[in-house]
Amino acid sequence: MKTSLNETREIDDYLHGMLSPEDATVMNARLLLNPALRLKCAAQRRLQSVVRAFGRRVMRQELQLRFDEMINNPAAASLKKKIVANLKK
Amino acid sequence: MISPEAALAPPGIDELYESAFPAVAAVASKWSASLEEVRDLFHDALIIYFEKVQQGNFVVASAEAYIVGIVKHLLIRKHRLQRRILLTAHWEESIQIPDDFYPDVKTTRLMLLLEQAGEKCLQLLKAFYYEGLPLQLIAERFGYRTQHSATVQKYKCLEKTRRYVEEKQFSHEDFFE
Repeated sequence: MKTSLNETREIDDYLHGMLSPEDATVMNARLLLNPALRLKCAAQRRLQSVVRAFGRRVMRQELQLRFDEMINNPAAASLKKKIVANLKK
Repeated sequence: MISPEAALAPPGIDELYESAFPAVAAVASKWSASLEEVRDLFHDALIIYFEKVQQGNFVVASAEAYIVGIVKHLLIRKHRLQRRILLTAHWEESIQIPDDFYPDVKTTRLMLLLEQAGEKCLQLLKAFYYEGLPLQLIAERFGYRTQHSATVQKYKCLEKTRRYVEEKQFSHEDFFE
């Protein structure tokens, strides 16, 4: 793999706690001394949050479709009735 | 006969609609009047529950009770309620909602931008990190011939999208203001 990809992998391993304690210590020192690496690491950390947010968004959309299917299915009439009754409690 | 693994397996989504949704509606009815609001709360709770299941080593006596517990936490957060009003069982206190479950504005904007600029990469990274799929499955889903190709592509995507984040987040700080 290219050097830059190796660095990306190293940051990824660091963020996921997959470096050995020795390598993590070295990485911490490098982050202190290297602002460019710090920037990359911060961006990659933010990216992890972005991916989680994206994953949840897709899952919400899928659940929404499933819910619409379920609630409009005549076979689920008694469940729908139960839900509506509980909402009025 | 049901195998022990199947008996211990967490219930599926359809089963949870049947068993947990009415209970969630009953709990939430006091604060969330509409079916849509309760549906959204229930879906958020399902997502949190399935994320916990996917992380492994997560066993609960009752998935339904756990989901109702998550909904209580979401209601506390949403309506700024006192915890003791809703958390009736001791074990419910230990339920945790992920810190970034409701993403901040920067993260949301980056996600929307990346959906347009690099959706394929975002899908690939989702499969790796969010869904935690095995390499073999990821290679098949995205049409890579080998698992190695899928891994290399993951790092290429990480690098590409990280550069995008760097550019948007750090070079155009005012973009987010």
